[in-house]
Amino acid sequence: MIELPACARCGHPVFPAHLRCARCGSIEWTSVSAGGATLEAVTVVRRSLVAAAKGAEPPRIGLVATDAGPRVIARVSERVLPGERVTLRLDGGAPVAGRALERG
Amino acid sequence: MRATGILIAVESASTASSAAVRVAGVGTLPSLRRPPAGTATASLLNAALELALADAGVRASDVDGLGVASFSLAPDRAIDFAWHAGLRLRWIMDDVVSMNLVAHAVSALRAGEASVIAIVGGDALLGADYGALLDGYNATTRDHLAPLPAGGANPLFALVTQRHMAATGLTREDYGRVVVSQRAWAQTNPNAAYRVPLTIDEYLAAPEVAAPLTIFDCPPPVAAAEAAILTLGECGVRIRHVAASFNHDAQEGGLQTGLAELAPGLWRHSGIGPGELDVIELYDDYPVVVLMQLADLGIAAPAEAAPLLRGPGASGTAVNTSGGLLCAGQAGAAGGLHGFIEAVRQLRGERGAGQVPGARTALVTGYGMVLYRYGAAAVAAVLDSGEGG
Repeated sequence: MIELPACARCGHPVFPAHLRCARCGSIEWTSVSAGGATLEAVTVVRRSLVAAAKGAEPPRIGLVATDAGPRVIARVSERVLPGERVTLRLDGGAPVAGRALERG
Repeated sequence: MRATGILIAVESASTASSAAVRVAGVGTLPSLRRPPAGTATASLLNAALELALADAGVRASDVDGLGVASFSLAPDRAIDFAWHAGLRLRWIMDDVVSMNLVAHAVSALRAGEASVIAIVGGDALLGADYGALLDGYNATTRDHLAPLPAGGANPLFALVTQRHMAATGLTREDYGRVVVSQRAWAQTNPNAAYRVPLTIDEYLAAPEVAAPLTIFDCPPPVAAAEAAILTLGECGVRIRHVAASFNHDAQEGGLQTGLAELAPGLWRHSGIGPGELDVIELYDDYPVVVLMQLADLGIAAPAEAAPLLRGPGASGTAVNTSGGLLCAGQAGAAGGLHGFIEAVRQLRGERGAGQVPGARTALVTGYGMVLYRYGAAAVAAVLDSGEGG
């Protein structure tokens, strides 16, 4: 699960990383686990003003709410539906969400 | 959550006969979906400036303040344009938020820092150049959105619209009503790119961009420019008050714009209330943004906006009477000026078939600067026709 930047003084987590904490003004940062995450909304980009790579699948772009608080825009890697729990990782700078597996 | 917005309050004029900030001239170029090869942004800006100067009856040599809103004038800035346009200035400003140029021009005129300010906005940014702007809009977009690939702001506002639908219970028809009504107004706007009327059925059947958004929900890029000449004067369309908000919620919200915070002060300082507006020009990059702004300004809740969203010919308050950016087209950074200039034409009674009868008061908003998930800039201005108190 993705680690989110968090203010070292007041703990407020954010995404993406910032310079100063908007809550308390601190310039010191740490990181916290996002905890879990839920897919809030998802859309398939069928037409784009940016040329897609040849043969590429239409991207699935989702709004993911992390349990820690921040919302993240992610590529959704499978047919996850809004309301489902997801994993969140970083592929370079790109957040990627996939269906969270059930724990036995 | 503690607000991180910044509010700019500008004192309003007191009576009609006292010197106030007036819009002395305006100029608008036709929106071009396919501009001629080699169309230069500077030429577009200059052509719009020429129209506005003629409309105002002033010469370039009278202009001592300049504001420029453009993405594609780069690497040139306002000062380069001033040099090439032969303008010698005391006040100058670059900002792609063109309504912020208006806000600061009003302050500058009242402070005597300039006496004739030209505000020009425009872009010739289409195709691959436009895609590059979208993907590199800011560092966050470059690093965290472009690689997805998001390919611009359309999927971001598709997600905003989905959240808005879930929160309000609105259906696609409710968002479609924004587009259908604006298409009706666009028929009266000879400069608009899309002037053919649209039915709600055609809207609902339109090709999808990113669900629930279709091609009619997304701002169509065009090449064009607009310009306005602002002065202190005794008569003419008057700017009563301008207020602004930037980064109101640190990108931690998404269903409310910065207008919600500035609205109470806007009404108080302008002396006009949300129920007293004849014309409302709302920045309309997407239908959901129009509905959010109506709610944020206390004009209409989303489920109550329908009576405001109808075309010309009916009585009462009218919204986005040029067709808005969704129908007139968005010429890059000129977007924020578009509604402002339309409001001026309405208040002057110059709109012909698109005239709102007896238009005396107008509200104009600017919105945009998508930092990550939605826009962080919100500016609102209240104007009147300059007649009466």
